[in-house]
This record gives sequence, structure tokens and C-alpha cells, in this order.
Amino acid sequence: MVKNSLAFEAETFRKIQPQEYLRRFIQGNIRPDGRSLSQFRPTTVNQSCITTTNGSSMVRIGNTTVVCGIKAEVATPKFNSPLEGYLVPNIDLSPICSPKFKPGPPGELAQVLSENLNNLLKSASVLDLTSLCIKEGIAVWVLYIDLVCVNYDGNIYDASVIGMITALTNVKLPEATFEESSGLVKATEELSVTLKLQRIPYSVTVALFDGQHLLVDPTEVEESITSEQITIVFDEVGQLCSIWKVGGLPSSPEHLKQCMNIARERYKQISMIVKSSI
Amino acid sequence: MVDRRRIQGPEVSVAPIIIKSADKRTCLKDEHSRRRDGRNLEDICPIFLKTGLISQANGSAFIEIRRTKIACGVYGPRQTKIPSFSGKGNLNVEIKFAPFSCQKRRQPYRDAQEKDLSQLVIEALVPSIRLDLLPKSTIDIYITVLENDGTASCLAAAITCASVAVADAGIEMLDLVPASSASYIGGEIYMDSDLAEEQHETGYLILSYMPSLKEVTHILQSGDVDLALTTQAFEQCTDACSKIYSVMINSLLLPIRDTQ
Amino acid sequence: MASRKRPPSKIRTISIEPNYVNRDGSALFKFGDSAVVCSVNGPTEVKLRDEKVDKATIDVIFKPLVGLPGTKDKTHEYIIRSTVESVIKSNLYPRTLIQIVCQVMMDDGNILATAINATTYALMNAGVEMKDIAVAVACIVNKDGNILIDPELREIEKAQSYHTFAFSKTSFGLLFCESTGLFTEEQYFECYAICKIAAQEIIDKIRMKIQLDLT
Repeated sequence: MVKNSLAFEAETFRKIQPQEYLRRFIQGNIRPDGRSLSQFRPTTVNQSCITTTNGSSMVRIGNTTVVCGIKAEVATPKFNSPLEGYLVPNIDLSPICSPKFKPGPPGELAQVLSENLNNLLKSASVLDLTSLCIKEGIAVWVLYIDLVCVNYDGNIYDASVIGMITALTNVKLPEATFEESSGLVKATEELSVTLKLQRIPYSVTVALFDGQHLLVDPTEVEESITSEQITIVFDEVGQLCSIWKVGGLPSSPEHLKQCMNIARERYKQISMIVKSSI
Repeated sequence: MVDRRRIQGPEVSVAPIIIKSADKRTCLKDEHSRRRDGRNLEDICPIFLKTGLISQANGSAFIEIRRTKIACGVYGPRQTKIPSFSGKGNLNVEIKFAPFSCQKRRQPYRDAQEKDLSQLVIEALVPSIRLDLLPKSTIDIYITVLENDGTASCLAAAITCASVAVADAGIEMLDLVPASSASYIGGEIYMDSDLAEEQHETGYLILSYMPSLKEVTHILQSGDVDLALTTQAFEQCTDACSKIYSVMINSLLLPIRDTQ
Repeated sequence: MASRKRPPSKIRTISIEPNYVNRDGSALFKFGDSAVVCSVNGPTEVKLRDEKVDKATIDVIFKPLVGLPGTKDKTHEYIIRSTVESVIKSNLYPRTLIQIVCQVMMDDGNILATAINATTYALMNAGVEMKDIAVAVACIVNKDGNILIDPELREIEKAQSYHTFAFSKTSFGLLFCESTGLFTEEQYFECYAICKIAAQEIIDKIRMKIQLDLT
């Protein structure tokens, strides 16, 4: 008796033939989670949700959840940049968020993500580092930007960038002064100083399947099947801050142009979501 | 030691010295024995508990009590990595404090306190889980503390949260394990104390208790306390555990009700 | 600042030395004063943990000029691995390991592009079967909006934006791209076009070198 043309479940099919599994969906112009190819997952942003931090945010893109907390400490500046403070972004992909990650020090993906976040902060000069100066050559603020991934379901970089930037915008620092007599930095109890960001970049990631289908905002399953991803970062005036494409089949400039258009549209969406979260 | 697998900041950095604006003596309770947040001494805080937030895990739970926020993911039962045979399942717990979770920034690598607390969670949970049914398997419980509002109550919340997550993973258990904490401050018992209260405590009690079996799985008590006071705290904690128990059951039933 | 001695669209002198170290395959690749040695070992035995049943495991180790590897080097490893994974016919070598080690010898900018080219040559030198060839070029857009190809370190420091591209030989499609800094869409595609022409030049150099070695 034949009940179903498929002799086994879809989940089994996915595990045995992942490429073919995704191809069947794409042929029907739909994705395994029911989205269309150009549809983003619901995105939510929470601001200042953690009180032990100077600035914090929680971002959810679909199931992917990232919590970002910024803590400020005081340190001496580098000798050749006596006015500049430090921004230290690090992401933690702990085993809680996916069975892919092992306990222990950061793995390759976490290191690559941290490096890219750091690159973005530096090359797009998101924050004027001299605004973190307390006393020239003696004391500056260090902002430790720690991101913790609680649930890993793909597109972690986009979530991290939104998290990092929103947390930076709601950072509140105390009024700090350097006391010449004691050689100590004293800070007020109230947190009153806010930071002025020079640029608000948001990133948009698109996966490329079979070298022709653009899947925006890929999930973990889609990421593992497609080997190719294009990440594009725009700022608020439509200037590009970063383009990153690794792996997979060679792609053409047309794909990149399409991705840029997608990213431009998505930027508006993200900034709406972030604005409404205040 | 320089960690090359992370983005490096300056070699040394310190938290700024805060000038206290005025000598605000923190008064833990008013003349009506009400605490700063309006609770009575024996009251516990409202609990927000939700299961299934981590889609990648076999079971998961998120708990929020006051400012404490803890996420817990359960992976398994899965094959034990070490090839030696074991007739019983193995329970592995790792508690991780996010670097920004406490007043002072924590270093991102695992410290001694995290190892200690992980061990305590294992001890509290093992009696409740049917590990004898899971030979050659491991259950991995990962707990991430996003914000810590009092270490004793945080540990209790972690145990409660982990127990719900194990149930959410569909692993056979004898009972859920709610846990509650009490602080001894000036000869009085403060249930479920927060960070400020904890700084004044002379001792604490953390109780993990299986209400339907009326069995205690773990007691942790420290400090120099009168026996009568301990007994009283114990009673109050068992009561609190029963209250937490109903919250746990509700959180497990809610998603099932929603689908029906 | 001493002005650039070569025209903006001219890459520095390329030199390639195959069999630089005694491995299955190796090569030294130089863009002017930037040099990377790449050695390839494999297909060889793979650890059971990393074994893939249907294809080769590709492992890349990137060693910086000085000091111990950090997150930047890890990122380079990730980029090189994903780039070569898409050109090596890895399904011909199931359950094996192809190990690639890159060592920076001299650094005068564009280390990543140099390393990708060195890896490409070393892979050919080792006789690993490939369906395509990856070649990489970098360029900057300076403060005046001029595009300078294959920039030196002092030029990169003053750049407005920095772009590294890797192209495939057969289709001239984009295999890898990393662009940082601030730039416009037009600038990006201008860089893209200029680097593509330069990539052709590098391919010609590589082909000449191979022909020379074979005769």
C-alpha cells in the first residue's frame, strides 16, 4: 500500500541530499521555512535591557538571538595615539546556541566574526576614538563590546552588527575626571555622557544558491547548504562600508548589484525597527 | 597571558572609581518590614519562565527573576565522546557568565567560580534525572547568565531553569527540581535576596527540592547561623519551591495548550 | 610622501619560485616587496575527527611575519580555505587531508592577495586537481578618489577604502572579495574592473612561469 510518494520523511531527505532538498524548494519559489526568496525573517531589537552594562541590546532575527553588552573601563592610551580610546568587540559562540560549537576558547567562526566587527568599527570609523579621552596621554575609556549568541540560526553577522551599533548608541558613561594629586580617575555616580556615532552601518547578508538564486537572510540550514555568501554594509547616507564575499561559485557583478539594491532597501527596514525600539 | 583568539584591548584596564554623591545608607527594609522593592521578608519575586527559545537545542528555557536573566540549553542525550563504556548516562553542566553580566566585567574565559557553580547544578539535578535509562550517553546542559542580580538567587534560578529545560528536552525525570534561596541578614531571613541585600548577608541557604516526591536533592548553606533560624529558612524555602514548581509546570504546559 | 613610482594601474613586479621548500608542492610568490611562501602537503592521512566521506578535508595554516597568529591570521585562513575549496576538485580525494601552510616572508601590503596567489601556484605544483584557478589582486581608493592597484603598505595606511578581489580563471567570476573603508557603488565596480584586468596579467605570468618550468 502506497500512502505517500515519499518513502521517508522530509527531514531524512534533508540529511541525505541537502542540496537537492533545497533545490526542490527553490524550484517552487519558496524556502524550507516558508519564506519567499527575498523575504527577511521578523526582526526585533530591544535596547538597554541589561542594567549591569553601560549600553546593551538584544537582537532577534527569526530564531537567531544575540545579546550585546558594553562595559566601560579606564586604561592608559597607546603611546602614539594619546587621545584615542579603545573599542574591543568580541563575539562568543558558546555551545548553548548550537550543537556546532564546542566549549572552550573561540573557534574559527567566532574569531572571523570578531575580526570583521573590529574591521567595520575601524575602517568605517563608526566612533571618533578621541571622544573616549579622559586625560591626554594618561587615561582613556575602553569599551568592551561583548556579544553573546544565545541561539544560532544563521545570519549571525547581521544580528551582531545591529546589536553592536544599537548598544553603542545607548552607551551611557559617567562624567570622569583625572585627579592630578592622587593620580586616579574619579567618576560620578550618574551615567550622563552619551556617545555620538559618526556613522550608523547595518549589514545585510545574502546567500547564493547554485550560483543564481539569491536567498536573503539565510537560516542555519540554508547557510550550511549554500557555500556562498555576500555581505554588504551600508551607512545612513547610502555609502558602502564593507563588502565581503567568500566561498562558492564565481559570481558576477550583476549579483553584487542585486545584493546592493536588496541591502539598500533592507537598511531602511532595519533603521525603522531600531528607531521604534527606543 | 595574551589571548590571541580574541580581539585585544589594552593590557591593563580598571573599572573607574565612583564618587558616591552622598552617604546613602542603604536601608534594606522600612518600619513595616517591607523591602526596598515592596516585598515582605518571606516573599519571593515574580518569575518569568519560558521554554523552547533556543531552536537549535533539544530543550531550552529562559528565566527572568528581577534583573537576573538566564538562558539554558540542553543538548542530548547524545553519544558520550569518551569511548569507555558506562552503564549510566553522564550529566555535564557548564555555567557561563556573560562578560557584562556582573557589576565588574568578567574575563571571557572560564573561571573557578563558574566551575564550582556548574558542579553544584550537577549535584542538584542528578537525583531527578533517570540517568540509568541512558547508557553510553551524555546530557549537556549549557547555562548562560546574561545578568546576575545576587549570586545565591542566581544559582537557584539556574537550577530551576535547567530542570525545566531538561523536561523540555523530553528526558525522563522523577520530578522537576525547583530551587530557592534565602539570605541571613541581622538574624532575619530574607527570601530570594537581590544584589544589594546579598552584600549585607552573614550567610545563605540554597535548597533544591522535588515537591511531589517531597525529597531534597541539594542543600547548600554557609555562614554562622542559629539552628532554629536554619530550620525556619528551610521551611520557607520548601514553601517557595512549591510556588516555583507551579510556575515551572505552567511554563511546560503553555506551549502544549497553545498548539491545541 | 614620496609619490608612487609606477602608474596607478600597474602592479608591482611579480616573481614566482616553485619548489621553494621540500614538500609535495610549494611556491614563493612576490608582489614587489611582499612575499608569501606556501607549501602544500597532500592528499595525506586525515584525523578521524576531521574526515569527510565524500571529499578531502582542506586545512589552511597562516603564519604571520612576526609573532604568533591572531584573529586576523585566522580570518586569512578562513578566506584562503573557502577560496581554494571552491576550485579544488576535492571529491577526487575523499577521506584525505590537503594541508596548506602559508608563511609571510616580507610584508609590503596585500598579504592576503599574495597568499592566495602563492597557494594557487603551490597547489598546481603539488599536482592537486583543480577545476579552476584563483588569482587575487588588491587595490585602494585614495583620498583624492584615485584608484591605485597593488598598493604598498604606506599607501594602504592613507587609503579611503581597501579592496581585495580573487577571480576564477575560466569564467572571470568573483570568487572572493573583501572591501573595507568608505566607498561608493561606482568606485567599487571601477575597482572591480581594474582588478579584473590585473588578474588577467597575473594569470599570464603564472602560465609563462609554468611553461618555463616544464621546458
